[in-house]
Amino acid sequence: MREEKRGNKLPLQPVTTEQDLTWVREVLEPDQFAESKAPLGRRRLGPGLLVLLWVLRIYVLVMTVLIAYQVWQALHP
Amino acid sequence: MAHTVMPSSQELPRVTSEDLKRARDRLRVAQARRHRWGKLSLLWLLIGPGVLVMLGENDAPSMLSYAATGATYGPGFFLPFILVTFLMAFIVQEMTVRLAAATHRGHAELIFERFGPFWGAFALVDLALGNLMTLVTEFIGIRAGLGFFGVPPVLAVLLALAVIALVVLTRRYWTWERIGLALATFNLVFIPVAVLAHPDPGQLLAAFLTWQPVPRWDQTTLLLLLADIGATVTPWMLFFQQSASVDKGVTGQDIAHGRLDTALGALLAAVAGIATAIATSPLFAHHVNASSFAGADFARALLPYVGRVGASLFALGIVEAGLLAAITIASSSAYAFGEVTRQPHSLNRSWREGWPFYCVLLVAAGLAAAVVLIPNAPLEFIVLIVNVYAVLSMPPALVFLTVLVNDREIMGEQANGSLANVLTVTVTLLICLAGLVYGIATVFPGLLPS
Repeated sequence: MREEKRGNKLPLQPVTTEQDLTWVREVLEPDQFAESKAPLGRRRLGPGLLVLLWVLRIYVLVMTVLIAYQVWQALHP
Repeated sequence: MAHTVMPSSQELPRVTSEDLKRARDRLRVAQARRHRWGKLSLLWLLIGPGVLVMLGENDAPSMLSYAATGATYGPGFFLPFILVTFLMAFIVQEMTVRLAAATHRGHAELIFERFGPFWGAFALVDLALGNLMTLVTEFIGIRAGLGFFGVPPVLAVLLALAVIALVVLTRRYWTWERIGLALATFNLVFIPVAVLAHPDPGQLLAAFLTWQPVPRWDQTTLLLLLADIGATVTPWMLFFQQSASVDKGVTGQDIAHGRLDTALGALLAAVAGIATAIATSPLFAHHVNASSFAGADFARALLPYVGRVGASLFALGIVEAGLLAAITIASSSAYAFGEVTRQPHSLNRSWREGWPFYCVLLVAAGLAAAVVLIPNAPLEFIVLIVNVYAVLSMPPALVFLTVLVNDREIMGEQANGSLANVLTVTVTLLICLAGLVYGIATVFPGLLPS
């Protein structure tokens, strides 16, 4: 890997010039740069996956109501 | 100088201070890889997110769940059960390492990009709600633990907030991670407490080999089972470990070490959890009713059995558990917020560059701390409910995770294989089942003996 090639050659010191920045670009992979990530784009959600997501969403809502019910019962015995 | 954003030519990526700091960390990793004796050094450099997430999840309510388990049932079924729950946690968390290494994106960012904002918003609401409730319980634990030493509640909460702020505002991921790891080692103070409880080694061995005695099947058992699962597998862990691994700069080459990091964390956390259950087993042996115990109550009740030193260590352990979890959970909220709003979201950012990120982190912690200080707030119910809520909100999070880690477009050769998918689906079904049983028992309490 690129970072391995550079590994034992580069000093750990503050970077001050544009030329010095080249080692940063060699050490990091392209998507590791904070401000230059290319959007991945959306994946296609098939009907099966959509149904599963909706079922789980309803499950969480129902369970949340159950928790709220239990708390209410505990607070008002 | 290191915080300055350097200009770059148009065709090359723009280099920020965050990138510079991360690149320095990566350089040390590369140097360790080339060194003949670099294996240990490499391990030292690459452990972090896995240990932090696992010991972070051994938080105040989790340790109290383990303590309640030991006090209610003594050594038996629950000891090997705790080990199995951490195996489940390892199966789940390992996938976040691969996701981070392959995509260099946090979990919230990935859900928003691949599923769109509609489903992303749901995932974020689950996370925000769960995190806020959990953060409140961490401060309850800190307050209770420091209360054992006579520290007043307001001072305890302010001290905890000050520590969180100091750790976070180091503005360097590496420093933050190392302080977190140092703090995490205190989770192991439950081991000497367990030793001081003088457990019968034969009984412990029998418990691990035979899973006996099995507890009576009633509502208390069910709640403790769910709480122990909730103590090891929760949504914030997915968001935290993936985002922290991205912030650390983990790449495809580091996946083996990422697995080792996660396995080490799971092992240490399991040992600490089991030690806590063993430490409180004298309460079971002496028929002490611990059903309504909170943090400091366990420490006080243990005084006759483990002495002043043991009880103090127990209280300190609860404080540490709360503090580390507050740091990691608040960080997971801040990472998710930054990823979704496209604000800078790195612990390598300066305050000036990353102030929205740091603000979310500190406000989340501050809000939870404030709730704890509200007079007559129903804190005991929040503690009781928080792990159960974590179990209930876990299935959708696991589905997002499974779909993402099977997405070959973004994962390439790091996508899940058949075995990993069988294990993931098994864990998901187990957690769904646990949640459903809990729901049925809540609506029809007569089905189980109380």
